[in-house]
Amino acid sequence: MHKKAIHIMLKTLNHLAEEPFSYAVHIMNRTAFHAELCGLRKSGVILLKVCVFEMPSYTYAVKGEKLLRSRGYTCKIKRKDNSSAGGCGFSLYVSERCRSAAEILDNYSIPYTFKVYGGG
Amino acid sequence: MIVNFDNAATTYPKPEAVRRAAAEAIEKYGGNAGRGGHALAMRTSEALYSAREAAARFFGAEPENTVFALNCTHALNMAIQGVMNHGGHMIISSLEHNASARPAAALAAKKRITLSVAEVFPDDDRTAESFRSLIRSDTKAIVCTLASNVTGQLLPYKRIAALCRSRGICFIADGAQACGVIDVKLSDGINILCTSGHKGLYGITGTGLLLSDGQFPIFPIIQGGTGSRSQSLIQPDFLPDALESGTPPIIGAMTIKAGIGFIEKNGMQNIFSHEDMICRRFISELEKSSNITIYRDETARYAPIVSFNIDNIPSERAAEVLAERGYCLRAGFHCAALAHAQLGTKNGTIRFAPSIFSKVTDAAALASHVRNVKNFGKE
Repeated sequence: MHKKAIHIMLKTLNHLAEEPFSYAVHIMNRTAFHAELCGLRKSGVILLKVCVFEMPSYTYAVKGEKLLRSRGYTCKIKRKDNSSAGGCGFSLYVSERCRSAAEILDNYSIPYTFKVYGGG
Repeated sequence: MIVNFDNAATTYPKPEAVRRAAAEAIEKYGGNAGRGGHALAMRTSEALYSAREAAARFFGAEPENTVFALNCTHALNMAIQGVMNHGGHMIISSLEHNASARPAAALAAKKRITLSVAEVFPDDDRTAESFRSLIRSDTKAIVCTLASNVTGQLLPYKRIAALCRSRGICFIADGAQACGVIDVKLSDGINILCTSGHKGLYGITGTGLLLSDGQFPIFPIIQGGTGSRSQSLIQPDFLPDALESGTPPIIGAMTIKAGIGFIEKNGMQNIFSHEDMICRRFISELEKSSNITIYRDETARYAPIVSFNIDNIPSERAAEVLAERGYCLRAGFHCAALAHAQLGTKNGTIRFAPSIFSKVTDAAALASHVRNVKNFGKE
């Protein structure tokens, strides 16, 4: 599991190399993930938190992005991860103030599934 | 040389900005919106969203409740069949275009709904009472054109909307002849607004809009790929995806955005005033002859459309002669069986419908042709 987690992380790092805030791992098994996180921390790897709001459609993703950007958030729309339930869609990646970002989306009735990657 | 006075069918010519928008969309936005994460798809998705946002803002809706359709008929079918999915009673006006009347009649013929037709009068009070008197305990929706595509008569839609609101009835409005010249907003009390993109909004043909205030669910009549929740065989239940199966009219949507920009730049009131002035001039010229019937009542209000007939000459024959002289007008029944039945026009009418690009001199010249040709139908 350790090797697999490392492999996934390296693959993700390469994929997200352009992102200013993104070090992310897939949450495949919460228990195993926390175990790997401890191991990675011990080895000196720094993980930054990324909040991902999985939206049912591009329309909602853009609406959410505009709302958050107008309030000073840094965010980006990307295709939803294939491993997520339901299939195709778009996700809004936010690197800061996740809880308040979620509140803003809630206030505007924007539907989403919330995930957190990483965290130091 | 052609002079187009058939803008109620579709506006021509289109503004320069709309022509440019179409060309730009073909060149730059060639991806499929909402269906990929690569650069081409994403910039096309952004462009479509910007068009959706512009349309939503124009009509006072939310972008996610703004649906791109293939035309107003498509939008009306989605609205009527979608809202009446579980049956009930529906009321339509006596001036409805077949875009509303046919789907309503089809549902009634299959006994899926019961249908009533509210007579429209020149007097708004009588029209409002006509609708009110037909409301029953099981009335679920009222479908009403904002302006007749035959005579241009404006209906008292805000009063009808208020009636619906007080009774919890869904108000579905056909804005095909009003949007772009009358400042129509969902906040007027309209629950679902359906309109063409290619008439008063100056977009290209093959475009329409459905805008919802979200109060009444619209059951999808078409299922298919939406670019969302693709692993599920169940159609999404959220707008706009629920009603936008298949590739949306992306290029058309960009022209709607450009058309709305054109209207906002020129001012809707200015556009209405210009077209209305041309209609009034045309009418005043026609009135110089006693053998021309103009289907207008001085107590009613009108969008810039005029229907008329010449003696007992069949309307199609008259329009044919005018077409030979370069004037484009539509004759016949204008896909509005109910309206012509109410008017009693057994041979239909000739319809005059200017646009912002029409000239009063052309209208006067046309009126002269109509008025002065002897033995008009026997040439």
